[in-house]
Amino acid sequence: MSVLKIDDLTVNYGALTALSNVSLEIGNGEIHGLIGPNGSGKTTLCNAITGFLRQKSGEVVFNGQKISSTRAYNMASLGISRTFQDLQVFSEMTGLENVMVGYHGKSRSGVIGGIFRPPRVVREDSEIRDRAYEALESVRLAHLANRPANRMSFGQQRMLELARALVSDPLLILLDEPAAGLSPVMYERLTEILGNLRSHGKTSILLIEHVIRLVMSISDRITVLDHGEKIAEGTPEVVRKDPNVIEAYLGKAMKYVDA
Amino acid sequence: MGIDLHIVTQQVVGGLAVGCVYALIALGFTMMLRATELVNFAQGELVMSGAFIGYTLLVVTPLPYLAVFIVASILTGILGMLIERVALRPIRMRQSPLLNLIIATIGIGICLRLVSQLIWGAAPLRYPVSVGQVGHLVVAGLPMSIQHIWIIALAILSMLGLHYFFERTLPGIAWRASAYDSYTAEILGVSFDRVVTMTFGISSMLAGAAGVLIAPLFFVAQDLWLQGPRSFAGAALGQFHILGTMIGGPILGLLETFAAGYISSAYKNGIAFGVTIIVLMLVAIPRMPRGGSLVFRYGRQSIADLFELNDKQAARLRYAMSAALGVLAFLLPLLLDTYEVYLVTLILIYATGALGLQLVIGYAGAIIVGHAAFLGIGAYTSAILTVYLGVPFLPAMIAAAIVAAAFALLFGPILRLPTHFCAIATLGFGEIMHLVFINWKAVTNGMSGISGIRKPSIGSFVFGEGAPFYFLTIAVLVVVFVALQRLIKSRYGRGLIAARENELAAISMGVNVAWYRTLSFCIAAGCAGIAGSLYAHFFSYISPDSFTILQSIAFLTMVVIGGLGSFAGAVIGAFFVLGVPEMLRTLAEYRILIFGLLLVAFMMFLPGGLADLVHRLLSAFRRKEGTPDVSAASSEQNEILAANPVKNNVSS
Ligand SMILES: Nc1ncnc2c1ncn2[C@@H]1O[C@H](COP(=O)(O)OP(=O)(O)OP(=O)(O)O)[C@@H](O)[C@H]1O
Ligand SMILES: [Mg+2]
Repeated sequence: MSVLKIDDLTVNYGALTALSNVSLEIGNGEIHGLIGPNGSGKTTLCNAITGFLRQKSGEVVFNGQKISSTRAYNMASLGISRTFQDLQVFSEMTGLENVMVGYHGKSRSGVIGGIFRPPRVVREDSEIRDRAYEALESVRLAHLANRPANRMSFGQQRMLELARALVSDPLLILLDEPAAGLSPVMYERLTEILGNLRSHGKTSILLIEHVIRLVMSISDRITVLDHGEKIAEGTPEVVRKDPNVIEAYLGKAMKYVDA
Repeated sequence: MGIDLHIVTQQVVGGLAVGCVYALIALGFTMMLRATELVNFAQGELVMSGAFIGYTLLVVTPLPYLAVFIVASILTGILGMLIERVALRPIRMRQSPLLNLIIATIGIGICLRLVSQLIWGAAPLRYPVSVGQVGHLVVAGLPMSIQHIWIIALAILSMLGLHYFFERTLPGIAWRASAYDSYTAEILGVSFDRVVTMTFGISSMLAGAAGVLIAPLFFVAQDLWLQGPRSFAGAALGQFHILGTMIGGPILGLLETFAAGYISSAYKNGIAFGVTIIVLMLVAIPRMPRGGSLVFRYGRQSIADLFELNDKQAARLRYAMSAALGVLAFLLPLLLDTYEVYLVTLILIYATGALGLQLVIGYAGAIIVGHAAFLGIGAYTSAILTVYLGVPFLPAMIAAAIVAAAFALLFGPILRLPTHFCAIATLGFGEIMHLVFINWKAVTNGMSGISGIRKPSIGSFVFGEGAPFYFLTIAVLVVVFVALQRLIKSRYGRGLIAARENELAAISMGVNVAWYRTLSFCIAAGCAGIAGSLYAHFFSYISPDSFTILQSIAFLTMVVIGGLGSFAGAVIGAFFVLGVPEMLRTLAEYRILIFGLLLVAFMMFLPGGLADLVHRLLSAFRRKEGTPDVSAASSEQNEILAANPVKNNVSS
């Protein structure tokens, strides 16, 4: 059964059609690569899935449930989490607090519980703390648990974002260019984490990436977007050889050469 | 039909005249928003300054009205530029969040009001001349006030001048380029700093012109400043476009005149604020959440972190501090005289309200400039319940909190507005509630207020004046303080802070940001409601005058000076704001001037507030002790070591 099924999705920004009739299916535990030239609509797809953009037409089904009109803040509790292309951390909060917020959608206590702290809430809170710490350890940031995020390096912040997205054990995680700007050391760490996730097989991943090497080596299947349209889909081998893909990328490259 | 064409004509012309003046003032807001995203809360005080300057010119010099109109506008423009250069630019240069700038303009406004009071006195002055002749011009059999026609003509001329400036002059074109895209304009050689100064100059000039135009219609007095926030509705109606504002102003003027004439004159002054709130809610609620931190806490560490205490030590420290404070609080009535106990009690009442405000401003990141309204709602609820309905104190106080929170819930969507719009909308809310207190006589007893509110009692114990009331207040404060402190450490608190730091990410993690903010607003209102209940029983008498914009600004000052993002800071701030002027008794008259100066000075030199000062002193002390400070750089190295333990071992 598939975790995510997108049918004929169309998204507009005013007059600009950013995605037209895109369909996509991600299976359980699958790592699904999403590639395409700049401005092809990858981030837009991510935002549409997570409820930040309202699609014009089409349907998004997650885990057997239609989520086309689900609010963005409800996605986390359903089991969808994400990272952002342009780092979005809670800068003044510590590493641990950042990751604790990642568990928000999976926890329940509210204002009254927060004030009166019945045992249930105390238990929940320490569970969140423990899990957050574990998640930090899994990206090897445990030693920065008490440092505010804005005093971490770029790579560390990316890892922090990853831990924040992973802490809730999501069914589906959307990674928007997680490797962008990483140092070789951090890049190694990222591939290692992705490899671990894959071997556990519990979490499906939609991996948006410009580093083709990474996508090709780790993805089960790949979808290619160009100008908001799906131009190819299949295993890495199939996609690599697809003439449309080669043209989309080489055409782009030719333009760069011209310029 | 009973509509008298003569009266209607006069209303239309009168409304247009006032509306044109609104348009001039509102153009200042629009220009400022276009160029800098700032709402200048001192705009109204600049209108007032222009009116006073014009008054002096007319009295002292032989200049005719027209010349005075021009000279006073220019002088006010220079005043505006000076304010920008001296006070605001240093704050801006520090890359401070918008909040700091907004608060600084509020402080500057207060200073201007008080300086004008020092120079011209508090009594309203009458302009020595009117604009043109007094009398009426009869057009097609319909009388129109000559004065109104003059005002309209001069206002339109000013707007044409502005239009010419934007279309035909080089600085005007540069201004438009910068307002469109300041970054690119900067690259092309348009200095953003100069554009900001120019914006202040021109918008202040417009304010000055408006002041000189409107002064002959009213008396000249400090309360002319309210024309500023009121005119904001004109800019909102015009969708913050220059041309739109020129039309929005007159529409506002007409709306006010006709609503006052045909619906209710009592609420005339609230109409503009109502319009602002409605228009902002309809158009300015951001459709896409934005990311980016506002940097409120200024990297303040907790004391436990500062001294590298473990959890047990930290708990012990907290315990010791609470015990010491508890003993002090207990002994205080013995150490102080009657008046001092009275004063401390009053401060504690305000502090209870300020704690709530800290939650919304310091943690939720919204600016509320109408907090006194909730104090009033709580006070009236409690007074009415106990005096008229015989409800005991405790249920009345709880009801006060609930009613205040309910009002906040009703106006909760205001919190979805961007910071500066939220500030102006809540200011409007405060003004509207003040009008309700005055005019809803059946319930509030109007200006005469409600008297004979008994001292609170629980069971048969009466909390009389002095120590008993003091202990009641401090007990309430401690309960509120502990509740909020627990709350901010809870899941809800984390979500709230996360939303302040990065709305986009917070939503993705499952935080219902809009609801969390609304809830924080309700809790804040509830705290103010509790404080209001205590306030009513403390003074045994309440009237609308206790719940005005001045009290709202006092609340804001407490929270800001105390230190944003610190509940202890809010309490310290309350002691500072109400206590310090009390120590300078001789200066009592200028108490509010001190608030203004403090707001500006803190924003300039200590934006983190008193709480930040404490931390700075402690960390300086810490450094003197000689423990090496773990700097970012050295731990960066640790990070790399941790990442490659083997390699580093080999190489070393
Ligand atoms: N908020 C927006 N308003 C209008 N247009 C937008 C907006 N965001 C993106 N676009 C446009 O939509 C198209 C798709 O953008 P998107 O960010 O989804 O591309 P992308 O594939 O993620 O590109 P990149 O590789 O650069 O991240 C682009 O043409 C972009 O300019
Ligand atoms: Mg993108």
